[in-house]
Amino acid sequence: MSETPKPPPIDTRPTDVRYRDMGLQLILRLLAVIRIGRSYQVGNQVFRAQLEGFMKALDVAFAEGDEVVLVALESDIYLNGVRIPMKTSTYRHHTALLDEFKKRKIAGLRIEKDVTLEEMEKFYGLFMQTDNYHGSGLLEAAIAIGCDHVQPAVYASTESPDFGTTQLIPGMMSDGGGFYGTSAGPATFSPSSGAGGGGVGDTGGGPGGSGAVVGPGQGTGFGDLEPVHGGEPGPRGAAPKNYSVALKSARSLLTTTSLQDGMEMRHAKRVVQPLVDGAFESEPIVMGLSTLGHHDEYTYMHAVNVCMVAVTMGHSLGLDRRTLADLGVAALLHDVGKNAVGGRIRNPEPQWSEEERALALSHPIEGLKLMARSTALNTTTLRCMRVALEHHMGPGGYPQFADWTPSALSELVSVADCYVSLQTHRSDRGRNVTPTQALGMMLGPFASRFDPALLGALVQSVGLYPPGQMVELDDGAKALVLAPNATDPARPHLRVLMDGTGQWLAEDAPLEYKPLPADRTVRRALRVEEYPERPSEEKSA
Amino acid sequence: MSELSNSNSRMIAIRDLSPMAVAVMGWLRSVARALRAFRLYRGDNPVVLEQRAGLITTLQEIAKNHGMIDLRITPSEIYLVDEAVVKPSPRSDDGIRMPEELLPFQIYRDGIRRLLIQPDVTAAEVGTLIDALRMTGVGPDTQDDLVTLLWQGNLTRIQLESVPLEQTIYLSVHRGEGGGGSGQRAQSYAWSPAGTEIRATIGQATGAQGLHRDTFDDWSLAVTVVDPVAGWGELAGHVAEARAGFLARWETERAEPWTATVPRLMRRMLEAEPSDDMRNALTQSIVTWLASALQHSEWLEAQQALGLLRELDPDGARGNAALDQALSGLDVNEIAERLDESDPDDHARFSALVVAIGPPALDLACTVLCMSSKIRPRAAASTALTFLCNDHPELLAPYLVDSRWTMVRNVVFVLGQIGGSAVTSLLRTAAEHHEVRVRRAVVQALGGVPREERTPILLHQLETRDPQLLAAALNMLTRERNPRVARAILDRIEAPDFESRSEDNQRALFNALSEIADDSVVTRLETLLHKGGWFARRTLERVAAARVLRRLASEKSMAALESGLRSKSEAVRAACLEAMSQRMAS
Repeated sequence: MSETPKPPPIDTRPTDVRYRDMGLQLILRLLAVIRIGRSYQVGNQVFRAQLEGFMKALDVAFAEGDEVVLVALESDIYLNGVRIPMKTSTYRHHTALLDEFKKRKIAGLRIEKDVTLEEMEKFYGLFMQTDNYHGSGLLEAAIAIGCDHVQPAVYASTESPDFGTTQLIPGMMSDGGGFYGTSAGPATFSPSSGAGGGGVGDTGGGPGGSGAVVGPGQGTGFGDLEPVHGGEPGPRGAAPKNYSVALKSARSLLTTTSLQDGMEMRHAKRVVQPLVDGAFESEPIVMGLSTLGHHDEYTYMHAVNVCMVAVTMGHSLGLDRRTLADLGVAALLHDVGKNAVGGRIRNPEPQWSEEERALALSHPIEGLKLMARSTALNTTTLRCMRVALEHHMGPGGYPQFADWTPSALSELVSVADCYVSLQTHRSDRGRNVTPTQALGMMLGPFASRFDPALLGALVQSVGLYPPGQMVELDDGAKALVLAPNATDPARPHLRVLMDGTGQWLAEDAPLEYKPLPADRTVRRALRVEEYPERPSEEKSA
Repeated sequence: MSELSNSNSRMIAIRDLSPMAVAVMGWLRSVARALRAFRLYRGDNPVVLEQRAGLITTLQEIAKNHGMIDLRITPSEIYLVDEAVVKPSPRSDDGIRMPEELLPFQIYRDGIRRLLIQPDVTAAEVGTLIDALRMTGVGPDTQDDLVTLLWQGNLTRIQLESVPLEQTIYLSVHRGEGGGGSGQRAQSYAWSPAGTEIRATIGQATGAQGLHRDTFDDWSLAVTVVDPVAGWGELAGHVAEARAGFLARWETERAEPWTATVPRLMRRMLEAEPSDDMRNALTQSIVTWLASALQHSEWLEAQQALGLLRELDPDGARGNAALDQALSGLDVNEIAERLDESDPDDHARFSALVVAIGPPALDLACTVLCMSSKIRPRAAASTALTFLCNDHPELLAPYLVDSRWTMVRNVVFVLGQIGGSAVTSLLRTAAEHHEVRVRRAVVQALGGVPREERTPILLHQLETRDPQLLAAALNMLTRERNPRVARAILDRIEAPDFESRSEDNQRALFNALSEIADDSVVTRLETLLHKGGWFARRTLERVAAARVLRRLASEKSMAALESGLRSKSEAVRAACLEAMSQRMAS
C-alpha cells in the first residue's frame, strides 16, 4: 500500500511575506529559463528541465491563488501586487529581469494555474524570439497559438488606463473575466490578502465586471471597500487608492498568525501612516463605524476600527506624528493575545466556566508574550506591548499590578477599544446597541473608569451622534450620521433619508448636510427599533 | 581604446552638467562622505555636528539659488530631473566604490523614488532628512525605515514619493491616457487624501477575515445608558483641565528612557506569571534589545540588556540559541569601524561585554579582531577572546578554517595567549595553513605550549623556505638542547633539496644546529664534511659543518676536525682549518 504523501507544512507567515519570498524565487527561475533558452532550443531537455524548475516555483505561488502576475513598474517588480524588495544581493537579478521585460516591450507575465508545461513551452518559443515578438505582438502571437494560461502583460500601471482606448484583442476574453478585460475595461490586480473567505471590495473591476483582482490571498475578503466617489466603481486616482492600499496592507499585516513568525514594526508603521495622515486632515474621519454592529469571529475589523478611533483621539489631543504612528500600531495589535485563548472559549460571557473566564482575562498577558516573542524590542514595540497588556487595566479591570500605572497610550486605546466593542457586543442586548448608546455608556456608567480628557477626545472624534447613528432632526426628518463635526459635536455631517413628512428621499438624489447648519438641530438619536426601513418597492425603484 | 580613469570620466561628466546639477552633485557627495563619518561617531560629536550644519547650509543655498530640487531615485543613480548627479563610476580594478555610489540604494531600498526639495526649505527639514539618512545607514535592522522617519518629520518643504508595500496594478494592452506606467504611484503624504475623499465604509464581508479568532467579548455592556448630550454636558467642564493633566503625564512618560521601563515591565510580568513560557518570551525579547544595542555600539545599553537577560536566564539555557542567531545578523564591520574611532573606555566596555555574553559573542569578537585596523580595539577583542575561551579553546576551532587568513592569524594569536596543552591540536591545524603569516603566528603562539607538544609542530615548519618562519621556528626549537631536534635539523640539511634553499636558509639551519648539537650528530657532520671525496669543493655546507663541529668542541668533534685537517681533499682541509682558526681566534 502506498503511503499517503504528507501535506506540506502550513506556512503561517503573512501573505505578503510569502509573496516576497516567492517573488525572488520566481525571478531567479525565470532568469534561468531565459539564460538557458539562449543556448538551447526550446524543447531541448536542458531547457525543459529549467522550465520544470520554473513551473515548480509557480506551483508554490499557485498555492496562494489561481493566478500569478509578475510585472515591472518602473524599477520595481511586483508579484500579484506585492513589491518584491530589492536588496544588495538581489539587485542584479532584479535589473536583469527588468532588462528582459524591457527588451520585449512588455511589463511582465501573467500565468494562470491551469497552465501546462507544453503551453509554457509554446509560449517560450515566442518569448525567446525577442526580435520577432514583442509588446502587443507577443501577446497576439501567444493568443494565436493558444496560450490561454500564460500571456505577456503589455502595460502595467497603478492608474486605471482610459477605458476607451483599451482595445479588445480577439481571444483575450475568457469566461466571465478575461485577463485584459473586455472592451469595457482593463483588469486590475490589487493586493488583497488574507485567509478565509469574503470578497475583495473591488473584485469585479471596472464596468462590465470583466476585471480580475489578483493579490496575495486572492479571492479572500478584505471587505466591501465601497466606491469613494459618488458611486464610481473601483479606486480612482492616488488618494483613495492610497487609503485602500493602507487598509489592505493593514489586513495583510494582521491576517493569519503573522505574529507567530516575527513581525516587522517598520512594516506596521508604514501601514498606519495613511491612517494618521487621514486624522490630520481638516475634515474629521471616523471610518467603518457604520458597519459596526456586524459581528465577526475575527478581530481584524475591530482592530482597524480601534486603530482609527484611537488615532483620531490622539490627534485631537495634540499628539505628534511619531506618537500617533506608535499609537496606531499599538491599537492595531492591542488584542493579539486573543489569538492564544480565543479558540478555547466556547460560551458567551454569562455562561463562562472558571477556566474560560481565566482564559479571557489572560489575553492581555498573552498579547504581551506574543509580541515579546515575535518582535524586536524597541520604543515602538514596548509601547505596543504595554498597550496589549494594559488596555483593560483601569479601575476594576485586569490584570491588576500593585504600584503600576498604565501608559497614557494604553488608557487611550482602552477608551477606543471599549467604545468600539460596545457596538459589536455579541449578547442579545448588544445587537441592539446603537453608536449613540455606546457613547452614552462611555459618558455615563463607564465615565469613572476613564480619564475625562480621553472621553473628551472621544466625543471630539466621534461626535455626540457618532457615524452610523440614525437621528431625528428638528423637523422630524430622519438622517444617517456620516461623520462628526470637530467644531460642534452636536451637529454632525448627515445624509437625510426621510423628510419630516415621513417621505423617503430618492437614493440617487441624497440630501446631505456637511455639517448640519447652525439653524438646524438634532432632536434625538433613534433607537434600533425606530430605525426606518425603506420600503422594498422604493429600494427597487 | 583605453578606458577613461574614474577621475577623468568624472571631470567630463561634470563638464556636461548644468550649474545646478554640479551643485547638487557636490552636495550629495558631501552627504555620502558625511554619512560615513556619522556612522563612526556619536550624534553629539563635534565632527558630526559641524558636518551636519555644513550640509544644511549648503542645501539651503542651492535650493535658494537654483530653485526647487527634483531628485529621482533609482537603485544605482540619482537624477536631478534628467541629469544624473550620482551614477556608478566605471568599475576600477581594485573594486573601490565612491561613497556617493552607495547613496541611491540606501534611499531607494525603503521605497523612495522621488524627492522634491522646495526653494524655501528650512534648516530643520534638511536636518530631518540628514538625520533620517544617518539613522537608516546604521546596521541591517534599524527601528524605522527612511520613509517612516521622514514621515514622522512631517516635512512640508521636502516632499517625497514612495512606493507602498503593496500596490494595485492595472494591466492593459495599450498605454492608457491616464498615464500608463508612469502614473501617480506613491504613498505620497505630501498629497494626502482629503477627509472627504477617504471616507469610506469598511464593511465586513462574510466569513473569516481576521487577525485571529475573537470568540468572546472583553467589555461588558453597561446596564444603564445616559443621553450623550447630557453626559457631555456634565463632563465638558472638566475636559480642559483633564486634558492638560493627561498631556503632562504623557510628556513625563515619554521623557523616561524606554530602556528604564523595560526591566520594570519584565520583572512585573514574571511576578504575574512566573511560567517557562513567559520567561522564554521575555528572554527572546531582551535578546533582540541586546543585539540592537550592540549593532549601534551602545555599550552601556547593551550591558543593561545583558544584565536583564542574565537575570531572566542565568545560565543562557533559554536565550543562547536566540542570541547566537541575533548576533550572527549583526553588521560587525560597522561595529569594528566604530570601535576603531572609539575611546579606550568603549574598548574596555566592549571587551567586558563579550566576556559577559559568553560563547554567543565569539563571532562578534573574532570578526572585530579581524576587521579592526587599530591596535586598541584589536587588543580589546583579543583580551576578551582569551578570557572567553580560556577554559574551552576548542570554541575557536571553527575560525581556524575561516577563508580569511587574517582571521586565522588572529585566532592563532589568541590561542597563543591562552596557551597550554589544550591549544596544541588547534595550533597543529593552523600550522598547516597555506598562508605563511599564519604559520609564523603559529610558531609564536607555540611559545605557550609545553615543549614536548610543540616540538613536532615546529619541526614540521623546518620544511619552509620562508626565512622569517624558519628563523622563528628554529629560534623556538633551540631554546633547549634536544637531540631529537638536532637530528631533525640535520635531516633537513642532508635532504637532497638542501642546496636549493637560500644561503640564509642554509646558514640558519646550521646555526641552529650548532646551538643544540651533541656528539650524537658528529658522525653525520663528519660525513657532510667529507662529502664529495676527491672532487670536493668549497661549499657552504662543508664550511658550516666544520664550524658546527668546532662549536661543539667535544673530544669527538675535535677529533673529527683534526681528521679533516689530514684529508686529501683541499676543500675539506680548508674548511677544517678555517673552523679551527676561528676557534683559536676566539
